[in-house]
Amino acid sequence: MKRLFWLAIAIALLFAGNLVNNNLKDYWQDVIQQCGIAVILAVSLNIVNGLTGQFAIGHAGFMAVGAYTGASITYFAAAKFAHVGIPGPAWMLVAMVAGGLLAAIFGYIVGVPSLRLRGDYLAIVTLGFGEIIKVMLENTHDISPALDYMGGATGFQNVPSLSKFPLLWGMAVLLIILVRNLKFSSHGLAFMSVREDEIAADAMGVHTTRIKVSAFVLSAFFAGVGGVLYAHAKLIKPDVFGFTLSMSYVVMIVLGGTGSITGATMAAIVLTALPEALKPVRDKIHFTDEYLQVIYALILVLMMILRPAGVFGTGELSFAWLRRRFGRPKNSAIETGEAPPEFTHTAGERKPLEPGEPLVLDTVHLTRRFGGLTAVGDVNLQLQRGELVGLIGPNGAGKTTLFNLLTGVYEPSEGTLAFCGSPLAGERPLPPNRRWLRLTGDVLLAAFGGWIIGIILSTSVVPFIDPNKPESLHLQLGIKWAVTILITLWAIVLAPRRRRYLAGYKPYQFAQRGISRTFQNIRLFGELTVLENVRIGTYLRRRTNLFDALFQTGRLKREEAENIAKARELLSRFNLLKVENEQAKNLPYGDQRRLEIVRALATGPRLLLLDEPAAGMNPQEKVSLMGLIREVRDDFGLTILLIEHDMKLVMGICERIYVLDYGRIIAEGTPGEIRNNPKVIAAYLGEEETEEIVQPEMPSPPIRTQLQPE
Amino acid sequence: MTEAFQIFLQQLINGIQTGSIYALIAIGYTMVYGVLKFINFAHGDVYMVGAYIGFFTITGLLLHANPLMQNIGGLLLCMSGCALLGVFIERLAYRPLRNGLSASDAWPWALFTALYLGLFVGPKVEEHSQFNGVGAFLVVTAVSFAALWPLLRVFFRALGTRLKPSKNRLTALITAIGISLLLENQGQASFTPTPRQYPSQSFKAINLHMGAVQLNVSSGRIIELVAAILLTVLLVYIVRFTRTGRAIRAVSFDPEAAALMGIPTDRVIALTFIIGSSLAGAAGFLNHNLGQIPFKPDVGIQLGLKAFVAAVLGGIGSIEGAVLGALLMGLAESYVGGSALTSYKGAIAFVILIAVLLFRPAGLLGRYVTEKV
Amino acid sequence: MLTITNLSVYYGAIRALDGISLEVKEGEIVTMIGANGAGKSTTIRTISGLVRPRSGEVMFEGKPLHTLPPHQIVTLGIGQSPEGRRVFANMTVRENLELGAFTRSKHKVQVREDMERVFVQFPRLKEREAQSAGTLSGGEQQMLAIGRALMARPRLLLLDEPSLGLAPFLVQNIFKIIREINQQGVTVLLVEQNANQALRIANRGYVLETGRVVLADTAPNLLKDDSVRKAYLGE
Repeated sequence: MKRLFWLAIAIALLFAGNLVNNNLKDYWQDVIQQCGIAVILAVSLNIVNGLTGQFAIGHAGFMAVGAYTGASITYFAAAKFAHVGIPGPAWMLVAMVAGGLLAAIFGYIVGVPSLRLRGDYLAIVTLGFGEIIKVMLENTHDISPALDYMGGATGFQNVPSLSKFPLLWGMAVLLIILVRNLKFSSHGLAFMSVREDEIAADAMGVHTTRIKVSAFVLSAFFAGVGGVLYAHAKLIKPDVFGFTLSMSYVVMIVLGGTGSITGATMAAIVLTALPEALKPVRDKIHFTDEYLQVIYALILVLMMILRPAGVFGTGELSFAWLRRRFGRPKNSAIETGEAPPEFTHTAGERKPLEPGEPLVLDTVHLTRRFGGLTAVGDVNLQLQRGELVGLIGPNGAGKTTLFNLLTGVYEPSEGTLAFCGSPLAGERPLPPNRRWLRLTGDVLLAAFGGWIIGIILSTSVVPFIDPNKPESLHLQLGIKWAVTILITLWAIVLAPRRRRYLAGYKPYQFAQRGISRTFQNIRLFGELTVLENVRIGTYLRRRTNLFDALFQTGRLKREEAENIAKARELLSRFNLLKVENEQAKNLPYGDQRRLEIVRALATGPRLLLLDEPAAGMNPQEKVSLMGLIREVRDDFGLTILLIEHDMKLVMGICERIYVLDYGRIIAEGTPGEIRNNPKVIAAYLGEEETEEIVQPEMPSPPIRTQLQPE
Repeated sequence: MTEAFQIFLQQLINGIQTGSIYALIAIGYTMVYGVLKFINFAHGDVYMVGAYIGFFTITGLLLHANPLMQNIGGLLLCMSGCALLGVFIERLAYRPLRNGLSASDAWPWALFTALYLGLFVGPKVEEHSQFNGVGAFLVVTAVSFAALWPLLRVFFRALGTRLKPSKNRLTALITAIGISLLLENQGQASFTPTPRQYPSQSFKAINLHMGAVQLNVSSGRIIELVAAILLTVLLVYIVRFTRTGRAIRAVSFDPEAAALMGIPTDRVIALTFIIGSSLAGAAGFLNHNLGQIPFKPDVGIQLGLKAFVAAVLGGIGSIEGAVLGALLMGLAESYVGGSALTSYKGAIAFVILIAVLLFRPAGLLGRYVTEKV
Repeated sequence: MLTITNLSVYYGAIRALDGISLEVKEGEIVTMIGANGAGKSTTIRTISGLVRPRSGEVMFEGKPLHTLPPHQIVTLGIGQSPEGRRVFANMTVRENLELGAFTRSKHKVQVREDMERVFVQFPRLKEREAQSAGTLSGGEQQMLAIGRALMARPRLLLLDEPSLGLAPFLVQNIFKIIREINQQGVTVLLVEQNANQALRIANRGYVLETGRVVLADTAPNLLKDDSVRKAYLGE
């Protein structure tokens, strides 16, 4: 009901806008049209560059794909149905869907190989893609004379002008709403978690590559739609869709604030309309266009130096924000209309161990080498359900490497790792269906690449042969197909031997199966709020998909409400509810550490790995942390493995301790045994003189508070 | 067969020659990427400015009366002019972006503003005083610089304490694009879009006979090629074997550790801009003076993009890689340009690039570094 | 020689050092011990200018260091072997050492002498002179890092965790070398997790905890101190 109401208002506004628009001068109608297109392109690019933090600079290429596809559809429709009249909005709809889809397919092809890697590769590949598309469109005649209607370098003539105000701005508004829906759902949070910290996102069960590809494909789709609208508004020529156009969209989102939809929209409108609005002024003071551009460039540079986050940063202009900014300050609980939830988690969930129950964690001969160096060698760890186990060892002993093995960041060089009875790491083939799918994909890719290379090679011999003889034609064909077949065969033979056919699980799969972790150097999603950080933890137990997020379906709303409630419950359990709307990076150090634990708990783990949770804490904080870790274990029925330097802490709470030195386990036992183990003492003190240090057993961990600052 | 072989050789020479120009520009991209880890998109425009510096000094000072002056003098002028430009860009935009604003960043901005004031207010002063055009420009520039400098110092110092430098790579890229736009449009405004061509020189055509094969090459192109190779070799020597080169390599490997060795990192960064920009200037001069190619203020965009692709192809950050990538690209373009696919000449660079990156993400000679957890 | 007063350093909102004061006198070996995250490395990084303090000052022979850029601090006579060694893995051992002498490259003869001296101290480096530093083992890299710092002829040598990740016999060796270097007249400020070893060769020590100095005494006294023993044995 509420939705219908807003929809009615939106439609009414659009038509009112249309009425105003139609009474403006043609020139201004044109400017408004340009603004609408710029908004669509900027907001769509913002999905990749802003929300997901990737770096795509070939947006104009996808726009061109959409533009030419859409224009072809309406062009033929106009020709075919000339007797009925010009094609109407229905054809436009078909054109937009087709243009968007084709752009999305191109997005997928470009995105999959380049998004696996981090860094600037996406930028370079998208840049190249944009240029290739441009050159292809310039040479449509050479590709096939059937494409001559596209006009090659001179441009696509006779495209009907169908990008009318209501359609164009209706699409722009729709896109803004969809992206906004996405941004504030947990799916959008997953996008942003990739931007904030890919490694941490991975550890929270976010399939980062899939997220990046989704974002990229989504963005390409909307760019295609924008392209279709552009094609029906202006003459499209290949050189329009060049590097400069791509860059102008990148500039818009950076100036507006990467990640801010409001920012992207505003920047798109201002940067498109302002130069036009300034034209009368410019003419009055006899300023040339070039100098206007110089000033624009200068503003860009100054802006980057003075306010690199853009005008809006990652924030949005919204009623809630306006209220916070200008209204009376309200506390968060009232704002959301709920009382802070009671902590309801039932304590004492621990069931007694059953005799045949598999170990939670069981590693056999786990080994990891880097080059010739064995960082972790022959490690056998056995953890039973409900245990709280410590892992200690001097700096550089390989503790963190072992953790990375246990969370899938590294693959073991040797040995196996079983979690709750099922193998998680170690070399083993992919399941057959995935294996065949991957093999088919690789072979098709190789065949396509081979075909292209074949064409290039066979045409490059043209200058050396006499084109009139039939043998030369045979030679050319022979080269082309021989190359294609050879490369395909090569792929069939070599591809299955490649490592990715044998890979174990990735970190996000470890997280999905129930291993969660914290990091030694805190890896929170700094720009996101405390609550959002925890919501990302709940993301991996989702049942909804991206479309639910875009269209705000009922089940998404229910799930979000559930997740938020669960997240807030956890926060209140750890006394962090009062700061739920703070950005994580602004929290004090101790709170950040606790928040990392909360975020890890939100994934619903069975095994929790804590990497130096007490690092950088003062003695009081350490005491409360020790209590907390024990409580967590008891209340959530977890198994905990803890790396720590602080021996006091480890000895105080752990039931069993493994000692690692030079990548090997040198001792294992209860705190008392470890304390008196000469090997351990030697490892920690780097000397053999032990008799002096061995002390009688201590009943409980004493806390050192007698040391005061000088 | 001999005819085909002749075409093959001809394309080979053309390819190497185009490649050598790409290499000179690509080195600048790769060096700046090495020390600062960002793509300096303004580099192509430095090339453009280089070409114009040579053109205007030669035609303005009538250097073409003497071939030695035209070629050697022009080259040196271009290189030094571009070196100044490069280091000025670094001081104006990239350093404040990297380190945050401080009082020492005041002079480039003061100078920059003063130059524009001179350009716009100068003619007005000329009307109302006995100064001639150049004099008025100089006076206005000097006076406004003297006024602005102290003012900006105070202003920047105050601002600097409140700003945090950005670690975002997108920011650096946008800044580079801003500088690129600035140079391009200032170029359009100052140099006008009319195509220019260096005064022609009469170069002998060299006929090479190798058995049945005969090749015609302009001696100008040969000189161009030799000069480009000499400059590249000189650069590789500097970077590999001198103290300065070691400092540059140290800064690109680990700026912090380099600083602990007593290496002034900011100065080394400025130096890489000097070297990279002067090579771009040399490329602009060689390509247009000896190659006799007409040019417009937008000449730097496409060429810069190609050179950048060459640098990535070879493995960005590696100088040898940039040279290798540039040669490969020059050859590919030359052969594709001579084949039936000639209309795709513009795209071949990117096709090769994407193909290579699929299999070797770090480029031919680069190394892919993964992040440590 | 080196005086630090009331030094506070922040990383963003996180306080790494909370008003630290310490002093190093000429000819001493002074060690800073403490757990991970206690602020030892931050102190070293502040001395060498890589980190700017929010308040407090660092004076070296009466000159303030906290306003100078890192490369000028090196020229004053402070050399550093950073945590994690940070050798230039893409260059040869010789090139690394030459970079160490970057500030004194004009005195070619002296540099050559110094290099010979480093090679005498670390014969392993001599053997691997033309090898790229990335191929060295951890211990050799640590020797290279120390040798590289010595090439600047420092009067004060800052060593950040020189025993990190080294095998026990190598650790012994490194500490022996540190003592030798000190005997040749170089003052040493040593940051270590290996408290016992460090205190054994040091004259004085500071115990750091969460950005503050909680204990300062002569090394033998610290070795005997109960609280230090407890802190490192976790009783």
